[in-house]
Amino acid sequence: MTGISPYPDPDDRNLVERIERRDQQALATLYERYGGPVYGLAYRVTGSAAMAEEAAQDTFLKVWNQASRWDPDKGKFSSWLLTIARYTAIDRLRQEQRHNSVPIDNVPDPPSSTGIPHDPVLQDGRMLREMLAQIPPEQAELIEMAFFQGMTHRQLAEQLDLPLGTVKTRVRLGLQKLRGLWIEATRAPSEISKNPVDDTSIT
Amino acid sequence: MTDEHNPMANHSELERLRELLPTYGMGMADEAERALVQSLLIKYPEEAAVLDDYEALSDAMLHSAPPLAPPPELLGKIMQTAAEIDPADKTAPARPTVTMLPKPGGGARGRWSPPINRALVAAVAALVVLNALALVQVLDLRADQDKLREQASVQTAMLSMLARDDVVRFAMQDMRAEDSATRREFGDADGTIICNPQERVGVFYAKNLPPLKSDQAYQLWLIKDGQRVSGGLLKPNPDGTATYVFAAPEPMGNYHYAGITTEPASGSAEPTGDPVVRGGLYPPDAGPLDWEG
Repeated sequence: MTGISPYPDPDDRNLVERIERRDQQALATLYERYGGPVYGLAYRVTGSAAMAEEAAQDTFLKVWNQASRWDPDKGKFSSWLLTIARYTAIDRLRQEQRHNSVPIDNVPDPPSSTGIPHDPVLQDGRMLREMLAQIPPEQAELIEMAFFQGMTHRQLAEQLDLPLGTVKTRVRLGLQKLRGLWIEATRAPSEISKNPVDDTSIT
Repeated sequence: MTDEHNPMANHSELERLRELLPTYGMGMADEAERALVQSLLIKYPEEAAVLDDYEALSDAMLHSAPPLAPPPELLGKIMQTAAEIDPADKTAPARPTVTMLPKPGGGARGRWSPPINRALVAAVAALVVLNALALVQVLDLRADQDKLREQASVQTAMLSMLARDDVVRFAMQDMRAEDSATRREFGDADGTIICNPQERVGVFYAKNLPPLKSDQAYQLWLIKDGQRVSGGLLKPNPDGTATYVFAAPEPMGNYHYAGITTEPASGSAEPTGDPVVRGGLYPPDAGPLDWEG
């Protein structure tokens, strides 16, 4: 992965450079470009519009303060930004859980998603959502809770009243299946036949 | 690399690595599992190709949450706070975050600034008055006349600093990797140094500091021209906060950067751990922060 933005000029790299020079208009442009994905991810993690708003605000302010920390050679800007958003939202959720015993459930009905334009940066994510629907739901549920809420296997086992071994097995099998689907979708057939997925648990 | 004398051990090691690679690649492994995978990947580097697939899946997962329309007022809040942190100046190069403490009767602050600024200043002032001995952690607490005089001097200097209008607050950012276990568990640490360029004392305040082992301490470093001076040792409170008044060998305006590292409880002559939080103070130019000087 390299820092190639799908957007025409000003691309993400240009915007980040301008933010490092304290150009507030660049921050506003970045928000217009990524505000929807950041807020959507924060909502996916927290399940709360209020917490998602706070996490989204903190995320963009972290970018404002630490833009120089993005290394284009290490990956896309959207990946860096959404990683910050994910951890910021997880931290916010944990704060709330420490104070108010917020239960960890699957996400309630989200706010409106109308008006969000089709975004090429999110194409892989849409494809993954479709793949998650193809694996057993008990595996998909655990994977999503572990990823979006930062839950450990042990926490998942306690939350769902499952044996720890069952949680670990379901997560592993689900991820292995996703990998198989991912490879089928993203690689040329010749590449797959040269390097078959050697995983007997993918069925 | 294989152990010719114990092929079964190698087989089970490889099996274990393959079991853990999915969660490791997705950033869902715990600290012990991460350490094990990293050591086994050195032994079985051919498995790195599998890891690439899971990292690609992890990236796709990040992008899989459906985008949602944020509240209409959110952009305004972000821009207002960004302007308060650092007023727009297109001609100025990037510089560390610096905020002047408001004078009495000052206006509302953005959410990014800790809402306890004036409360923090008042609390520290009370701490100085009531707990002079406990505050001077940089000094060896020997009961002799010179130390008592030095402690009183720090107390006086601190009160003098807090009374000035040009007390400055410097923000310090978390320097740990985004996916570090402690950062994931305890949240983003952040620190603040309150000082005045003419005075030789300052206050360091932090929150979300991970707990330490009994044989460890955080050590504060003040950096000038690449040279690091210890500002003393501190331990976090159980809730991850720390408030620490320190004395500096020179006026604070001489120092370019500051940060804390994890060190042995007895301290170190030079930083041996990675920085936990760090920030700019009075750098010689407005270039990027460089922990290495």
